[in-house]
Amino acid sequence: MKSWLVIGQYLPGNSFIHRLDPRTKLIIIFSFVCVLFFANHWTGYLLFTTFTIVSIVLSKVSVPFLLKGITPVWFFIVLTFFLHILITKEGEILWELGWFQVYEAGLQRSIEISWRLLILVVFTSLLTLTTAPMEITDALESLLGPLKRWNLPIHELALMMSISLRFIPTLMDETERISKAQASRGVDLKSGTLKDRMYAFIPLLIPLFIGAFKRAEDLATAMEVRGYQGGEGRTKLRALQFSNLDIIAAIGYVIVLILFIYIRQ
Amino acid sequence: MEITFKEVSYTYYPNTPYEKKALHNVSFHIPSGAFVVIVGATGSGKSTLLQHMNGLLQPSSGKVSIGDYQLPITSKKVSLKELRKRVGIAFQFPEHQLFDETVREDILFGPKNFGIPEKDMEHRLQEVIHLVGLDEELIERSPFELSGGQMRKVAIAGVLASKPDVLVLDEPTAGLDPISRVEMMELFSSLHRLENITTILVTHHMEDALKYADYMIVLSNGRIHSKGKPVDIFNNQDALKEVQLLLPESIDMFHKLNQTFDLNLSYRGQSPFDLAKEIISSLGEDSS
Ligand SMILES: Nc1ncnc2c1ncn2[C@@H]1O[C@H](COP(=O)(O)OP(=O)(O)O)[C@@H](O)[C@H]1O
Ligand SMILES: [Mg+2]
Repeated sequence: MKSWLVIGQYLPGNSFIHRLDPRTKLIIIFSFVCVLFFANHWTGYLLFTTFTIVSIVLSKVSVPFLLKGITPVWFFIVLTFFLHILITKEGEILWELGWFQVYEAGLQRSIEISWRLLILVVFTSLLTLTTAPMEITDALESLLGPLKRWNLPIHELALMMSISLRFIPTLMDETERISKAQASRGVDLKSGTLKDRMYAFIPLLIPLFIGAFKRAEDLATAMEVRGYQGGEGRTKLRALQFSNLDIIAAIGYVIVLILFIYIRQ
Repeated sequence: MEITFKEVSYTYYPNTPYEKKALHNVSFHIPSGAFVVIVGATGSGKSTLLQHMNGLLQPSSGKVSIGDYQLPITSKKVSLKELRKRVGIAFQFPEHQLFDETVREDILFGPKNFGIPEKDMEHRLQEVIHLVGLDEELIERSPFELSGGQMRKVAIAGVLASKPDVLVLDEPTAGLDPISRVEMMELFSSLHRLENITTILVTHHMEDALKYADYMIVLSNGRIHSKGKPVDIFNNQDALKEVQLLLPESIDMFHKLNQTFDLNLSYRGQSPFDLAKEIISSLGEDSS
């Protein structure tokens, strides 16, 4: 599979992390991503790295698969690394090549920043690998629910999100099918001038759009036929429920936070 | 063109958790000019197999040869375009590939890509719309204004317009009304007979398989379950049940009459008419 497809793909499983309530996962991950930026000492990084490794082990996701899934992001991590080396000019010069100098503080900062980025990416892909898209949507709807009081259309937004997520695989299948059909009619996306290649996308895009509109219409009809009228008074098939696992996870996370505050002082 | 598959296996998404082995050690030979029907339950690998015939997919292991072409392709210099010009594929629901402003443009899209000279275009267009039975008035219309059946015809015409030597058809009659289905099958059959086009057809209609195939391949779970002449395939009723296929109605009825009246007749590829005559005459012997 093309690796860019793997990023954000759900891998069904039955691990500790899989069985957590999606709200727990969302809260922990969002707050963790924020806390991550307060790390200012190697002990803090060590703590967060350990936390990440423990989470990976608990999720039973294979490490090569996880790393392969984030291949597209490696580019940014490496870029960040070199940018910081280039622009930070503090401390001793460690190494020099013409106009290019590596400063001690520069090296330290680049390692810190890219390490932070790596943890961030690994952690968020752990969320999407262990949580079905529908669970994430349900969790968002539930967590943002209080905003409905200010007339924000939370239910509708969640519905739009879940429908889009539901149709991503369908659209990808469709893209593959149509591009194969057009390739059989002699379309070549891989050679020719840039202009030729742009034109070669038209026979792919038009059938895709037409298919998507048709599907949207069918879906609207099907929903209306089954009595859908919006969020008011609608019950859920899979109600979210916190369990003991969530308490364990919360305790574990709070311990990490306390340790972190302790280290920082 | 001859087509040979030699121990071909194909795996989707190898080395990922989504890995799916769709073909296992498939071998067969299709002589030039044959009419081959491939049958098998949904998910048995028929479409995957077909996509090897114009290089859309390349075998994960094993070899495919189509005329002078060899897959997997090892050199970057080999152009798949020439192969795709000579092997026309109509996928399931080919009307989903229509995109151009007019029926004319859409039908001529393939020939243009394959570099057919401008002066031959009009001739080809006229030829194929008559073959598939499209009204001439329709060619300046948008393909999206047409009915489903007409769109299917436009799409098939688009494949035929490149004049392939090999025609690969993936359930071309699915969802058509009975008359259109018969017309379309007759079209493929006459193209095969008159122009000697090698035809490979995937279908769920056993009647069509019986009527048109020189040779049949039965797929089951990505493996070749059996292959041979339709007579031999349809005489092995138990094997067909294993792979969730049914006999054509005429043969099924023949077997049932045979059993009910203890006739001891055998099926050797007779037409329904001859079968009926045999039954009548042996029933006559019985009562006398
Ligand atoms: N693009 C694809 N990606 C992943 N798996 C596929 C793809 N196409 C087909 N498969 C799988 O390969 C198997 C064979 O499919 P296919 O060749 O479409 O069978 P058929 O045409 O006989 O219904 C099925 O299990 C199907 O799920
Ligand atoms: Mg198929």
